[in-house]
Amino acid sequence: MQINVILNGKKKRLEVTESEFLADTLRKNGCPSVKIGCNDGACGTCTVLINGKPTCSCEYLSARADGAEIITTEGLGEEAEKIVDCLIRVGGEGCGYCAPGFVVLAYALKKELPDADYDEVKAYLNGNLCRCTGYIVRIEAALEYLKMA
Amino acid sequence: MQIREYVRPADLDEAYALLTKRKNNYVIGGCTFLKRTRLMIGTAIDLGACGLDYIEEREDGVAIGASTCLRDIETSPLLKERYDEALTRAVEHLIGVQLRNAITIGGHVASRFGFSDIIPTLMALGAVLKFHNSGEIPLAEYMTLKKPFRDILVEIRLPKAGARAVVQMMRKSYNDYSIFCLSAARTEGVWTIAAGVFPGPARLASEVMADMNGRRITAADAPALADRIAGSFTFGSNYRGSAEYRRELCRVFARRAVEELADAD
Repeated sequence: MQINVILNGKKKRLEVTESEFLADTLRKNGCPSVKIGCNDGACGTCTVLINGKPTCSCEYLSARADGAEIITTEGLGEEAEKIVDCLIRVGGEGCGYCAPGFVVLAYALKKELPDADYDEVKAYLNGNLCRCTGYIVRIEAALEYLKMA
Repeated sequence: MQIREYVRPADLDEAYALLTKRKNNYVIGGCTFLKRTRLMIGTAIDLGACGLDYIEEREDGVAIGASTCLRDIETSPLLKERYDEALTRAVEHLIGVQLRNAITIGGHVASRFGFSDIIPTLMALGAVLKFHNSGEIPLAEYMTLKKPFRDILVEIRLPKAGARAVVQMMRKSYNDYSIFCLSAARTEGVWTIAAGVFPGPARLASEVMADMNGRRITAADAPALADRIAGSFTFGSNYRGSAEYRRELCRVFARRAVEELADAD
């Protein structure tokens, strides 16, 4: 079957199977930033924005995304760079595997809760696992990003 | 898991006709458990075009559309204010924002998951389910049916009166599933106490509730009531915890809930 989406600002018609999940579809269609970690909705590294909401794409049927606007790290341009800069500044870069999911989630955090405090940031980032850094620097990086213009 | 055909019907009549056409046709929700199943689905029915994504105030209470995601329930000012933030407490620990944006309340409730730590809170708040063809049924009653309805859950209705509520869960880590959970709500003199993850489906402590209603309950009554509440349930063991452990958790949670919602001394 075919689905119509707006992927990173461009209208696309994608060929998918009925049983396919969005993370696989996106990886096949020019978005290798979307990583499949746990493939079970728990690690958050496959996070993308679907109609503005951060969502685990590994558990989202591609067919369900028909008509949706999807944004991955590839589509975040300068904002993605700002978030990565914040990670580097606080020493939170690690191996980078979870970073694309973190970038999307931090971007969504700023849209949804621009004035979030430490505890709110911590709760918001809870669904994005990282095995390199521990979590403190990631919270600090997100707080840095919230402060940026 | 295999899906042969994927359809997004324009309205509920069309969706219901599709569902009842073949045994292996299914309504899909957030799909976050689909991957773990071995379902061979003939037609997957997506309710995305049926307009069931809402939380709205009605004359007789608050209605939550079946396609509403858990994150919207968590952050809804109306639900927070009316029901003592109970639903926020019930869902906020569930994995991550990204998964709560995907999981729909209809899919979660209609599946009657035994591990659900959200259903007991909805039961405690007096939730009533509205199905497309079968009409209304209290959630607590629906949980006791041998088989779920072969029908489309349209919305979940909560009573107008609101409630004071206590939500308690035991987890091994912040965002894990519960080993056991208990929620209690009080609307004026009426108590509703529900527990879940026995590990089987959620249940009300109906007999004890009947004795409590209309009576003055103070914190001093809590230990004895907690013993009776724990005694009214059947607990089981699984890899998350033993029946004995769950019984102890129930006793402690019930005591705390009664103390918190009791009349002043």
